[in-house]
Amino acid sequence: MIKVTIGEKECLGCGLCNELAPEIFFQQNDKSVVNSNANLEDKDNQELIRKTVKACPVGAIKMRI
Amino acid sequence: MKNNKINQRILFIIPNLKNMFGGKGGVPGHPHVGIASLVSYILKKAPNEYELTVFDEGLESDTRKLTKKIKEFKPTLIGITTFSYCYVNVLDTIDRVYKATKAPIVLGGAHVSAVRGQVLKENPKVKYAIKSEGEETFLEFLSALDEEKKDFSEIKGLLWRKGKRIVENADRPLIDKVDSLPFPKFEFFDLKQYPCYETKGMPILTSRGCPYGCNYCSVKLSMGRGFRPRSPKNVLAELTYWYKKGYTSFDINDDCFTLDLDRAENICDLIIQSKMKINLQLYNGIRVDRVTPRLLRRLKKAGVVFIAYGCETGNQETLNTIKKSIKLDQVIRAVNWTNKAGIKNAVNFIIGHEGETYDRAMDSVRFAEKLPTNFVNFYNLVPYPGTAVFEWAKKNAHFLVPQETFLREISYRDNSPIFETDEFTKEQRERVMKMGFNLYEKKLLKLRLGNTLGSIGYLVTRSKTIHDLCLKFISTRTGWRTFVRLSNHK
Repeated sequence: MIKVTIGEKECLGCGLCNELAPEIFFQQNDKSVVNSNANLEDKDNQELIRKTVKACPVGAIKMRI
Repeated sequence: MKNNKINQRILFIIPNLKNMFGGKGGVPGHPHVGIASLVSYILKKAPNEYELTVFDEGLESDTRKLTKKIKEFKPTLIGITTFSYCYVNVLDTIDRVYKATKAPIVLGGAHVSAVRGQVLKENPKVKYAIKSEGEETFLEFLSALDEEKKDFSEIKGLLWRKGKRIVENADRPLIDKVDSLPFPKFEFFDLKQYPCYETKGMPILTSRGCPYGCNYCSVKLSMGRGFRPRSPKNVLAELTYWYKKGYTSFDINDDCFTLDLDRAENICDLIIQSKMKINLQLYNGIRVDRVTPRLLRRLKKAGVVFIAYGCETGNQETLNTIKKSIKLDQVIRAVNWTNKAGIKNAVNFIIGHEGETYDRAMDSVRFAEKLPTNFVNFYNLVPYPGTAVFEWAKKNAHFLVPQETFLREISYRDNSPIFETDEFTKEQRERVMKMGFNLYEKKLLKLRLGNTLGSIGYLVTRSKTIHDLCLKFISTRTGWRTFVRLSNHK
């Protein structure tokens, strides 16, 4: 079971994750949130999430397996 | 060193820029950071393999001197840095270089990253171009030339000609470990020729890249959206290096200096602990949502005397459209905090955003007038190729100059809109921009010359003749040096 979280305090709302993985993240009230309907078990999506975790400038996105 | 001989003789050229009022021929305040970084990288990685020299056209009013330099130096390769702003000057330089030598020309700089293959398409005299960060690509390209290779397909980041075809190679990953890069080699330039030699000022880049997605911004095209910070220790080492040489004033030219608040505070703390007496300016702008009163106090203590903020528009709906991800009350709050911290500040605006109307643009002028900031900047929106606003304009606006050539003709300092819409016509755009530019000049003169002299200066320069004479004066070496000296916020 994959769990993806975004630290609300840390998130800058820059929208980078939303652009890298639009299926998984979206913007709400100037913050990024995880789309609850996203298929996190999908291997391609997991690869995208890993890239996004690495790209987040403040390390706000965490992925746990 | 491969064979104890000089492999290439490379002449780097920096074409002329306009001055800050949009007039011709402003003397650059300091050496070009990109070329200084590139030279430094080459000298570190391949010492003694290449003979390098630089020619900054901004320092020379006589265009014949470039030809003379080429004749004397006999370069085997010419590197020209390009910027979309003043691109027409780049084209002029290419023409003159081509007439003077048959050495191949390689273009680099921000404009190549923005337009990519287009730059070779419209410049048949140019053989190569390098997109995005140039350090690694340029050195690899030099090695390929040394080995007399004819095929360059393996060099990431390079654009080249294969017969009649223009080939754009894959993008090169951006340099991740920016601490590993050598400091820009400003000594490579004739420092005495630049106003910074007198003001004892130097530019410094403490990070590369900006993660935000502002729809008009082209920085991400050349520097990427990943934030790549240098460590505070590494930043301090560069400041100390110049401080020991007598330099005490530094322009932080980052795109997002305070993105990581802790890092910014740590840089300040190290400066404070070092007891260096320096002043720092943030003309390039920081985000209003990435400052806190605590950070501003630290910045002040470390020596920051000037901060510019990017606001871009005084209308919240437009702010949302352009994906700036800030609120207008954050702008007011940041300015108030900055004033309270005792740091002079400015706020930047752009006229001509996606979906903007006359009324919304006027909100920017009204908002700027009321802001308790020291001065405001107004810019003409330039829809740089590769940005979201360019794509929007192609579909929704009427270009007033051909899409292929507007970068040559119009810059962000000109009162000439590049496109118009039914909701915001050319005439309305010119009217708002004129008001914005007037406000900029009024507040700028007051800041530089003081309230009384600045107000008189503003009133006097409303006469077109006097205004033009002042611009002419600023475009001279003495005039520009005087102005730069006045700009030093000590």
